[in-house]
Amino acid sequence: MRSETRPVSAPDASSGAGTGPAPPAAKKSKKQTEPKVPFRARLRRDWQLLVMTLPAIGLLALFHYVPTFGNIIAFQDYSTVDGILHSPFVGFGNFAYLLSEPAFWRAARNTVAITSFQLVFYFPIPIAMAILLNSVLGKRTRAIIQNVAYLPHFFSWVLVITIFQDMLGGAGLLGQFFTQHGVDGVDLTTNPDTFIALVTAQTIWKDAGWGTIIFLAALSTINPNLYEASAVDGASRWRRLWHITLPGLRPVIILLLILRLGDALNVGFEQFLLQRGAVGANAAEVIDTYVYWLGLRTGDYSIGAAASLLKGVIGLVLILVANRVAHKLGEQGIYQRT
Amino acid sequence: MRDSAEGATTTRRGFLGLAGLTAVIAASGGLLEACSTTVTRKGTGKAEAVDKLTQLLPKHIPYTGVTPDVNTATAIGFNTYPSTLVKAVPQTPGAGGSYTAIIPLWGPPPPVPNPYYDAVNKALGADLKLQIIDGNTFGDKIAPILAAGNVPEISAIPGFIIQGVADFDRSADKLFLDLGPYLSGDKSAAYPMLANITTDAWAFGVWNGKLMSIPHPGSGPPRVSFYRKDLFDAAGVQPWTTADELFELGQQLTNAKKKVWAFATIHQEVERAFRAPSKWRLENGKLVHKYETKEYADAVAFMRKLFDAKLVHPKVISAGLTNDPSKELFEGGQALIMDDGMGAWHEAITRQAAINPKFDMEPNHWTADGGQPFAWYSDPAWLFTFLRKDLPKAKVEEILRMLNWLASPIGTQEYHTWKYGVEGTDFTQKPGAFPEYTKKGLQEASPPTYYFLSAQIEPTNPYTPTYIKTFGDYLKVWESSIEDYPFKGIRTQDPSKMAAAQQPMEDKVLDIVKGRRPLTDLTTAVQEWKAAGGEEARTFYMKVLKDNGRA
Repeated sequence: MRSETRPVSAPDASSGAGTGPAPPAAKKSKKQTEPKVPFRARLRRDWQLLVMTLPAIGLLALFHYVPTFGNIIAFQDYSTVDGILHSPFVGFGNFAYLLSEPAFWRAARNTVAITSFQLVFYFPIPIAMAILLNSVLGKRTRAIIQNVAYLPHFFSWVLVITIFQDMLGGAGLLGQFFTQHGVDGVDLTTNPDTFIALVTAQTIWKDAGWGTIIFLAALSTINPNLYEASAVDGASRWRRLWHITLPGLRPVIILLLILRLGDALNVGFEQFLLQRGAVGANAAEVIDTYVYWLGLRTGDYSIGAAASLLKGVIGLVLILVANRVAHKLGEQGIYQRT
Repeated sequence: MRDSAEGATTTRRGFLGLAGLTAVIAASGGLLEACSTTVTRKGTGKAEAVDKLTQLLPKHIPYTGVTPDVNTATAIGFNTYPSTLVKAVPQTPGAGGSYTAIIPLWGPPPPVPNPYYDAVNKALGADLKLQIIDGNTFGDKIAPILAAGNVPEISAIPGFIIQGVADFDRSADKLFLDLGPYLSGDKSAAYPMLANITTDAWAFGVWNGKLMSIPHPGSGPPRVSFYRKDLFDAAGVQPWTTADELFELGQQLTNAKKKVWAFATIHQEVERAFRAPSKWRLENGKLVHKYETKEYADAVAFMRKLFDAKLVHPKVISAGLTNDPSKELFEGGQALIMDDGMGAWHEAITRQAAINPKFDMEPNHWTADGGQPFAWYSDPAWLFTFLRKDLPKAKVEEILRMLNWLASPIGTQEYHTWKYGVEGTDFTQKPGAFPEYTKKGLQEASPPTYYFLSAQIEPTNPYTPTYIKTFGDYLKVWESSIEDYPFKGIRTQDPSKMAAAQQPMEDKVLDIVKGRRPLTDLTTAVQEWKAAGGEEARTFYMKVLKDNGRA
């Protein structure tokens, strides 16, 4: 009986995905029912639940929060022999060095360019695919299409890039086709100017299918009665898409967009490392590969840690700003405001 | 797949790759590529020189128990397998101890347990466990192991990996045993197979003025030009002798419509053929880096010419860091000329024997102008075996006796045991012929595991009827024409600033070669390299020369 008095927010959030923002009336009533229970009473009431979270907290602490303290080396001239305890502190020296390096800025520029490009040309594709898939009625056909679309997600980047080079490279299918017809040297995989389109195409091929999963789940929560009712009212397919489907998806789209922003500086590592030789560092160097070359390959872990920390902080700021904007616009964002 | 690790490739930083920034180095038959340029590491540069170390180094006592048909400074081999095998180590080396050794391996490790390991352990009289680390990621694995101080009794670490480990000299001091008290000077006589290692190689086993490791000798041509002899013969063409001939040959052989291109990766051999130094050259008392020489600029221009004429396989152009396709293209007949380590030769022949019996390849020494041969220097040791510091004397001696046993050369019973395993299970042998691995032996004994602890030149076997002679002839040319390298016998480690400057420089040269930048940009790139760390490196290396009385 006790648990019934606890504030319940989870069902609200999930129903919100289907029907848009919860009506204000519901919020109010929830606030009213929230009892003022003293901390010790709550502890006595919930201790079993709290105990159950301990393993997860332990894991998080051990493998996440404790290693986070390792970021200290970003402020040190770290040496593996001396360890964190004995390496000298250099303040913000590593950051100053990074920011003074043209190569770092080049990597940052490339990263931002690629991430913006993909936001426009990759992000909407899983949404469109999910809507299309959702309209396929044949269950078998749909399952087959889904499986085919999901499969590339499980390929490694090495494989994906090899496939692309064998299709679009100079010795690949396309290149050979042109060679046979007297046009030499067609090679879409080694042109630095179109590299950004190439990596986006690879990302779409590999992950767009996988990305539909979450949107398909959101679509399945939209009440079919809404469609029937609007169809009866004479709404066209487009109007239904515009007035029912997209609003139904909006919270999920916004959530993923915010998370994507937080991840904006992570555009991938292997994909770029593997193709660096093909198009050169000017086009293919991103922050992660820069960290690899400078931090790991030269054993300069401090600089690498500084670059990663910088990246993490920027990601956090982006998430917080985006989330605040979402809240301002009346959306849920990544968590519900109470 | 025989000896896959010996010819296997590992990526390392430091070579400008046509195949991307791939620095593919074939640790081949003990003939490991020299560090023509080095992997980067943090900290200041380091150098140890043979000249100053006479007191410290073990006395070189050549082993005379076997007399191989080929016996040069860098190669040893028999034309036919010796019918009677010499017992080189009379006593069982082990005393029943149990030890673990870290070794690298390129390729799949043998399944455990297996009769091959058991046989070797029985002969050793101890339990020697191998902790195999994939050679391609060895550097990533060994750094944390060293940082944690969590090393087993024995660690075999390739030199080019050590180059990439930050503060390795300090880690070594903390973790590894000074072998001087056991091996210096006349003490080496107690371990005759280890005493067989040359003094030059021993000098490379010194860190911080102490004898820290047993070196694995492995001198040989850093890079070799190979051509497909069978396809050259079929096309009725002869190997080239000059750069112009090579270019013409390239045009003649390339046929994109038939998916045949003349060249796979070839840049290092082009640099050498244009007589650029492998790294530094001493000119009028001043060190000049490869990048600064006219020869290097000419080589870059020539490479650009090959690319512009579309004579290089497109897959080489699009290759990245970890996927140099040259071996596959070459063996598959899609590219007819490539450079690689010496070991790539027998590796390819062994691999292709079952697939394409007509497959044949040969090395070709050439220079751009067709004049006197010119070859690059390589270090006299390529891999180093360390012992853990805290071991008691008796255990150290037991381990050294075991390593001594493993260092027995071809023609001895000891070599025969660790190389081939158990007769009938791992190999079969016809009278007078070389042993041949069985299917099981290919899995267990053929991956060169103990080889990495064996501290000896990997012998040459007659892979084709003409192999040993062609091999020997090539080595003679190489040995007689090695460049005047200012740091012969000095193990050097780049200062970190130079190391950091190298990658951007290689990026730029790659851009130039592949046509993404104009040729004229090379001058600017060299200026930027000098400013970013090249000049600092010159100062450091000049000091090394002065310290050693060479400048």
